[in-house]
Amino acid sequence: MKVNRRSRSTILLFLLPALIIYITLAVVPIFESIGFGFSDWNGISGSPMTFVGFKNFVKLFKYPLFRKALANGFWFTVLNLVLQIPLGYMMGYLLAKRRRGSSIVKMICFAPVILPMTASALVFQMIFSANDTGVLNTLLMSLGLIDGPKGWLIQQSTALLFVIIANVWCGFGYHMTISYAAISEIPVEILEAAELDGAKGMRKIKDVVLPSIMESIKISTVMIITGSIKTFDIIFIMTEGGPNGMTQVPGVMMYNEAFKYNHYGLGSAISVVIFVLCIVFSVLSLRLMSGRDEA
Amino acid sequence: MKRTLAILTTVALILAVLTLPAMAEDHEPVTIRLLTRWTGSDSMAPIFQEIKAAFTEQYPWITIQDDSVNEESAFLNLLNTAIATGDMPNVFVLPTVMMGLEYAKNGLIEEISPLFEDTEWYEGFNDGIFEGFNYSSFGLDGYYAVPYSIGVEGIYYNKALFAQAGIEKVPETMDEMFDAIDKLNAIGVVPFACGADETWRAGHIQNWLTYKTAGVKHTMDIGARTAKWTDPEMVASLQNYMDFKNAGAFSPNYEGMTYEEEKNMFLTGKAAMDVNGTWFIGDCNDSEIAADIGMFALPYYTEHEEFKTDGIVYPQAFSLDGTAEGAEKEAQELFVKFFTSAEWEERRTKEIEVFPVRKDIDISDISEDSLFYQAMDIVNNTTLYSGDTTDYDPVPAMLDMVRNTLIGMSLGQMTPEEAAEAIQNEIDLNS
Amino acid sequence: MKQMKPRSFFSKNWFYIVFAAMVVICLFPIVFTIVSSFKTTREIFANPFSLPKTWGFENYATAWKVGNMGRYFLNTLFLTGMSLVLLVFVGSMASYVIARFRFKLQPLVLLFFVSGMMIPMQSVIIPLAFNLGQLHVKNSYTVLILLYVAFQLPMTVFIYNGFMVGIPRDLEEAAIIDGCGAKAVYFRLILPLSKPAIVTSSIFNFINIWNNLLFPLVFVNDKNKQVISYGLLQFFSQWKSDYGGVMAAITLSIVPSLILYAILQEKVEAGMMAGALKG
Repeated sequence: MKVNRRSRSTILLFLLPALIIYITLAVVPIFESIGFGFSDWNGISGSPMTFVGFKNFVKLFKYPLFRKALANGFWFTVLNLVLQIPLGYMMGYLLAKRRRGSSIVKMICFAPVILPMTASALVFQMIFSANDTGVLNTLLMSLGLIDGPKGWLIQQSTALLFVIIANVWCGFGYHMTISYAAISEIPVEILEAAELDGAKGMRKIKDVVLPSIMESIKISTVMIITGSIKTFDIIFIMTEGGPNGMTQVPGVMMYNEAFKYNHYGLGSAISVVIFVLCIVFSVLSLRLMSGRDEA
Repeated sequence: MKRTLAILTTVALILAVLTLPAMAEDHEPVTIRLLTRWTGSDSMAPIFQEIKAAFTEQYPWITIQDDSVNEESAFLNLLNTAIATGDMPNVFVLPTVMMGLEYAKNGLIEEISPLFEDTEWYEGFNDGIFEGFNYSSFGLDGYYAVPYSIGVEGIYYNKALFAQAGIEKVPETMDEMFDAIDKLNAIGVVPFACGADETWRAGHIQNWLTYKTAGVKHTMDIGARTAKWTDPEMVASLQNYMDFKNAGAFSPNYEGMTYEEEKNMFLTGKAAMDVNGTWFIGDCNDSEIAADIGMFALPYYTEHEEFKTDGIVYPQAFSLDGTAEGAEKEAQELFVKFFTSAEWEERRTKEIEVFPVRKDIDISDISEDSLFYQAMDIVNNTTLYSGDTTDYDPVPAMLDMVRNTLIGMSLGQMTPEEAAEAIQNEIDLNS
Repeated sequence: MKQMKPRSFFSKNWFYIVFAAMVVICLFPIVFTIVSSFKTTREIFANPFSLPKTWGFENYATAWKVGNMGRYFLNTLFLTGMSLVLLVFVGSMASYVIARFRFKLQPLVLLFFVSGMMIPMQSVIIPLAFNLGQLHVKNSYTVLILLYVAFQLPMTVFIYNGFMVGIPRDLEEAAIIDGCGAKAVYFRLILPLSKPAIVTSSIFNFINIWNNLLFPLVFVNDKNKQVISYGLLQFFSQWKSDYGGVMAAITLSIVPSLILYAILQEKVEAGMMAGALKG
């Protein structure tokens, strides 16, 4: 007997379960959702769906709330990038020096990554609570930094920022570990050679470390961008997009439009926008990366 | 003889054994699902448990599965998902009459007029109470919900704090109300507890100020699209909300306070007033300051005397799964009739002082100066009423839209004019 | 020339100061939650930073009984377990063929699966809700498990494929000489050899499925079938005033992940990193 590496029946037999599940529950619905984006359905089981052309998309871009959601999504992405990457990579760099206690620090800083977002978001909601028993308010008031309780999650100036801070807490450990792995892989000789050349401190980082971890930085960037476009849990739990859309993002708005207001067409149009943005940014970043490989 | 007896006994035994399963089959076991908001710390929760227990005792073949959630938005999410997937709960609290119309049109809720044949049950209801759920003016014959209560909105106040602030009589007009707010602030007491993190709390205050500025009729006209949110009356009503807030009616950061915190604030004497419905009476009576709590009608603007008797009353009713058949249909009807029976209506009224919709109950032992009778006074002096200002709006997103915009306006994101435009924009986009 | 200043405490120890700060920031919310879960609500309000006067388990009893967390916990365990088992077989079977067989569409099939990583979960919930509604499928664990499998497959295939490509050919040839068919090779050789990939992908899948909120939020209405993440949210919205109980419920939801992490730290990190670090 012999394994025929071209046997169609074997190939099919082994592939089919995965293909069936994956196609029916992920691939087909994606295409369906595009169709839904061009239709209207009142969200009542059994009632028909009608084709409406571009109406949903036209309506969507007229919606002030959607523009707000896109703007918030943009700031969510940018702030997560500028907070998570420097923080994560700085920690990764320090950890790679392997001083005493590094491994326990690494373990602790990574722990938030694996926690359920529901739990983390609820805890941060309580920490940032607007009343005088909120943890942050209690702390700042006892230190005399603020006079009275502040509504961190309800004021225009701070609401989105504080959700982002919670998100950074949940995520930076991931990028710390990526950078740690990348920096650890830099051959010791290169670092020593650089030091012989007189490169020290920031110059060593700029000239030697940064170029060797560019690849990782790009991976982190792509992950943060696509993760931010899709973000749902943390906003849904901490603010539900409120107050009055201050922290609204496309993911939560999609859920609300479809499952709260029965605007299924509009919700699907949003999900198409999210999907397209994800693809565009993933492909763009992959291009950038492969371009780098060739260079 | 002995043998005959033995044979007879055997035959009897066999017959008994044969008929047993037949008897059980009379009532095949059935499960019904309920969706209400009476769970957790809700004051209706304990008696609801009792009713369910009593029901399953009387009808042992029916199992109740209670999917209730307390928070309004979670409740609406659950209900909408159920509607979208066709996975209807058997008995659920109907959020608004307009939502019921949509469900009824699609056959998702049961037309309940056959229940009226049970005259003993039917004739005990207040006259005309079912008419609110008759959609014939929308081209749909029949009745689609069974009322179990009404919610009357008024202002709960702390008599001790009023006395301390030197407020001699409860405010009847808004001028008197602003005066009271000043006096309360002067002694360092928060005038109104309001946990607007749950937007319905601010929404109910907006209902009040809107009905007294623009009138209930105007909100009905907006629902019928013969009037707009941008009409001067409606803009004025939003401006009045801001004036109310800016007069110091609420505690700082009230936009981030939860309903639990609000109730706690009022019931521990840290705030003097709370705009709330009759569902709050139970909480008041259970509190340590129960003796100090009174209730008065929503004050009106003297320049809008015509809206003095406009008020907020929420019809509260069950709808039933319109797709249920056979034993399941029978079971859900049994439950609704059981819940709304005179016996339980009476107990609910006496124990938590929710408002009854039946006249065949004996409530003579409720004391004359109870919150119940104070609320009764309010409802007796109301001539035109509605629930929320969006209750007559066919767009389901309007309720949230109005309330979110209200919070945005309160946080200084926009002026009342801009808020009105934002709200009207939602209507325009959906038509 | 400047005189050398004695180096300040900060510049000498900045390294450890940064570490300490990060440890406090990362640990505080977790420790706060766990410690608060043993305090009464009154104690939490009085001082969020204090230790409990007595270490009682009343909050856990509340969360377990009133909050139904016990039920949710078991439900989630069942769902996650079933999904993981299914993923091991479905994922490794497909990867085996992709990694070790030769056929025309092979690179495309791999790309087809892996590109699924880009599909956001949100994009499928509306059509799926509609389809399942039409089919009158409600509260189905089968559907939920298959959904998790579908959405974890891209990463799982990616991990298995990366590993299986590296299994030496001669091992397989030896098995074939022993007279094994494709099925036998898969079960007796490939699957046991792929243990590291199974561990890595299962950890990744466990974390993602255990933590998932969106699918149960949309597809499970039945309270008794609810999972821990959504159950937690429900408990929180109903018993907001019972801070202690909420903290106990949150602790219950994070304990499995924390235990897993404490035991298998390296492997958990590797599992979570599998998407970011190749090789």
